[in-house]
Amino acid sequence: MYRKKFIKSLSAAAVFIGLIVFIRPFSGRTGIYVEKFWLDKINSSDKFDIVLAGDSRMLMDISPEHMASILTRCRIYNFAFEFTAFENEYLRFIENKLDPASNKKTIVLGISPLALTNQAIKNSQYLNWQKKQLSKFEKFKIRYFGKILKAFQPINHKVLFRIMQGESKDFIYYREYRPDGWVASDMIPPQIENSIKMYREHYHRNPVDGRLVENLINRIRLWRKKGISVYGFRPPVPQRMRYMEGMLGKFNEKSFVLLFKKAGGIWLDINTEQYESYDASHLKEKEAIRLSIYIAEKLKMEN
Amino acid sequence: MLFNSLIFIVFAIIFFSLWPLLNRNKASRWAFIILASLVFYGWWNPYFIIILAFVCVITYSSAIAIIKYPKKKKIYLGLSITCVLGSLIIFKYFDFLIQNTNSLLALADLKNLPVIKLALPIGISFYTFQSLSYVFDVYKKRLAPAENILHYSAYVCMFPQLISGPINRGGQMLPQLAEYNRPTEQQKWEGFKLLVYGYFKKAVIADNIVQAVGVAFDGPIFYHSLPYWWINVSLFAVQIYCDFSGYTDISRGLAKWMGFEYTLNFNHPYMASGIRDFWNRWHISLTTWFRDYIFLGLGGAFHGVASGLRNLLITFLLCGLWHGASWNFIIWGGLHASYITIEQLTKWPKKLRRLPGGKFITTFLTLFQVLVAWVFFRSQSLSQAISILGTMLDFSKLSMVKLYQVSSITWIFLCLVVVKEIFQYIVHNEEILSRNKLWQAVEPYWIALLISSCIFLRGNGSAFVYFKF
Repeated sequence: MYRKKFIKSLSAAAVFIGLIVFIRPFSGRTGIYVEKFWLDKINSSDKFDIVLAGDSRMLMDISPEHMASILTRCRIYNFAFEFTAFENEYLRFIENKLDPASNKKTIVLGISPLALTNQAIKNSQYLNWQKKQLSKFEKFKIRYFGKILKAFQPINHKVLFRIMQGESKDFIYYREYRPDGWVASDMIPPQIENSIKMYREHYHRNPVDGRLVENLINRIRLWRKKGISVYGFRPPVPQRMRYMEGMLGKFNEKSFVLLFKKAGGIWLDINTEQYESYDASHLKEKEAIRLSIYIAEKLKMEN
Repeated sequence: MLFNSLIFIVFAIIFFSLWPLLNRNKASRWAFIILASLVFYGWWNPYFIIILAFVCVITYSSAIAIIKYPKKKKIYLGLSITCVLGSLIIFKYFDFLIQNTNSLLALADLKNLPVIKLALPIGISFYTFQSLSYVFDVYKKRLAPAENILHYSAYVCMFPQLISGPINRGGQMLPQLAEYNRPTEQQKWEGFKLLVYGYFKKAVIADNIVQAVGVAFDGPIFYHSLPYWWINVSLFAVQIYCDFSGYTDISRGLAKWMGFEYTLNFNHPYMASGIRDFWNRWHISLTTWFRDYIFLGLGGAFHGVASGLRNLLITFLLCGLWHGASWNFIIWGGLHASYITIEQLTKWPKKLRRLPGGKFITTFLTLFQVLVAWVFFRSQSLSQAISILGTMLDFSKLSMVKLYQVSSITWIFLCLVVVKEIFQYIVHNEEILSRNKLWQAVEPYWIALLISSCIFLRGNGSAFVYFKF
């Protein structure tokens, strides 16, 4: 009797799991395993002509693959992290990813005021990954069994909750981790209000730190001396968010751009109104592709 | 290695593939348990094995010497206690003692002593207590010493209980280890269910709640709202229960698969009516350890009420200290001692239970006391605990702001665990269930659903809370 029950449980579990793997309607049937994505980003020994750096806005807004369709023969990688500050360790890290033998050494910075706050250092995903000491087994598991593990990744609870509320038809939030360091993402319907509320609270307590701005500007000066081209732009966000980042976050874009240019960087102006965000901070996948192509064209023109 | 890691699943598959072959013979059984347990334990830090081996050798030799040289048995008992507790004190309490000494030295303007910051060997509090219980039992002639060091070491090292218990007694485990126990089909099924329930509690409930609790407690307090803190403390109560009892369930399930029976460690503690009852249901193996070797060792309540209460206070303060080298834990223990003292003197749970709805009110009041004590257990510092407690008892701070930080999904898990507890409590008697044909038919699918949840609804895999104790 017990053996029968045991077999029945295991068989039913296999059916349930198989069904869930097959029908899970959200987060990543394509792309690569999340842990592998970050591990590759941190540990990769590959060198590039163009590296992209910044926080989650850069991570989700710029696709190297689409940039490369314009900047052919350029090796490009997105080294942005979800919550990252422009502090020295991270800035050195991205510089080291440039190929010293390349004659097109370029760093593209996605300037988000959030990456210039002290809280971003505290919660830096980049620093957390650097500190993380994965065992050899963990690394082996992530590298070689990533595909299998991906199928068994936990389901995003927020998505599940909304589906339980009967919003499955309308609500989709997905993230697809691409091998070039980009995370393609989208959310239907958009969640602008909630995000603005969250950011308001954050900036209220964590305005931009002048020392981090100064540090970044000094680093740009240093890169320029080394012959590295430095480009910067502010990832497009809705006007309300820009206003709040100015008022509460104390980010003065005009004076920042002046300093940036003075240090030798090239600032790329983006028409905010032309791009649609799903949460007042990150671009929808198709918008991100458009922006990537635009940035690539700008870079091509500058050269 | 953690029970909730992929490497452990690989380890368990290898272990249980070889177990039927090596279980038949005593020597191979003990040697295999020891070898597997050392691999399991050494996975964290191979150097920790030295301390484990030291504790095994010392306690095994002392027990033999106690029987062989009865006239000097006190010396051997003392030697054993000094060595075992000494290693526990050095690794766990040395820096705490130094820090407190430094506070006193600072008052006298004297130079501070340096702290040593030794890494705490995982599970040291559990295996030192288990080995000490063995020596005490041999000393009290309640147990004959194991004749073979492999036999004894297999009892101390056994990987399912090595890290976080239950603290099994020699009298219960040594005879089981001496026999060839082939797990029965029923044992395997029950073990399997325990494994599934254990993983569900840990991975789906505790690991999904841990983040919300961390946001509230780890860092400066921004929100002074009564409902916010009651909810967070309740969440912590659920988290620690599911985390620890989940570990115990996995541990007991693994033991059943080996053909052994471990002691029950949790019995619906939050359903207790009275704090005394709570301790009969919470971490039972530790409670009985403190009762048998400390409380009764000090004389119990046999020499009058006053000495009984003094012994109770000492026992609970030590129980608090066992959980960690911090004043917060000592106060937590002290609070529980004072609860039981009041209970002993007034007999309030007994009186209240007689009233209509009294059982419910008693359970509610018990839970209230337990939650208040958990504040000290979880807080980062004494000042934080006092500040939180102040908010929890201040009825002018009824703001509902910030409750959204406890995400909707956390609420679902919270409800899930409450339903599960009530369900299990009601149908506690397995016989009732085994007679129910509908449940018999549904149970395998219920288990299958739990397995699927463990995979797809698991939170971020983290270490078990009691590892640091």
